[in-house]
Amino acid sequence: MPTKILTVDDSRTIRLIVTRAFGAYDCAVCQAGNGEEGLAVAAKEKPDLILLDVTMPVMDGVTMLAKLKEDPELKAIPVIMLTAESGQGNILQIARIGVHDYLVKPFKQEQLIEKVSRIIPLVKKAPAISTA
Amino acid sequence: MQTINTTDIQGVLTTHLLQVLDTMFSVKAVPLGSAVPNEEAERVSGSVGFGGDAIAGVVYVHLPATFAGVLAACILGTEPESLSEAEVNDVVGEIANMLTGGLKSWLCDVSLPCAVSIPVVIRGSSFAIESPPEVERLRLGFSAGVNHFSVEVHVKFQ
Repeated sequence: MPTKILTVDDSRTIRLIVTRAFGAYDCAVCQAGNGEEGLAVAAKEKPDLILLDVTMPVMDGVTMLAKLKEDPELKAIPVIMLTAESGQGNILQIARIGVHDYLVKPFKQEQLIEKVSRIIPLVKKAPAISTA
Repeated sequence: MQTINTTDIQGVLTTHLLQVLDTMFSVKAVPLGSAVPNEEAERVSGSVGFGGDAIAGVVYVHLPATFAGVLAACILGTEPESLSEAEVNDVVGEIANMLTGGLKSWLCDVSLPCAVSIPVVIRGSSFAIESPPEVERLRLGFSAGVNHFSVEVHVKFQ
């Protein structure tokens, strides 16, 4: 069964970048556009890891994370915050709310893969074999 | 609390814009200082607001529509012609978000904490953004190859 990663970001661009980044791995990437949708998708899909933006409409990442931690079925899912805000105060706030790691935007695809692979195993897809 | 001015903000925005374009798009941009390009052609402008107890403002990134399309195609791995306006707008909004996130981080580090808004994108030609007289306005020009674009910040020190 492929590893499941949930990306929660109001930017479709970031969700596409994340999906493309894991294209070479045996991963299924599901998406949500805000914290409220993120909680619903997390409950349904039970992802192995969540990549979570901070500033989003409807429900922000900090609120979603707090609700995730209150849910006995979801609280163990590791979360990496994907944020454009890197100041010391912001990082301390993120650390306090119990995330596994954070990645500051802008980021390289390799940095994302490296951060995720420290938390969950990533397996490269087998190369397609041509029969022609 | 430290005292900052628009020159500090200019330096932070310039550094972060170059970093965003290089890291996400592999585009090497060159700062042109206050030499702002002619912006009468259609452009896509992404903006993100920031606000705290001591400072508030808005950061705008103004990109020619054609260059915005090229950047969007680069990051989404497709051709500019195949992209919708909404897809290009989303990329420009994300550039403004990353740029303002960098400014917010720096403001936080100099004891001027603030919050940021979600991005807003406007598209059109020959438009200017006005602000009240007490708001300081800074415009910075950049080039990347044949493309010229600008960043604008409106800031009010409370």
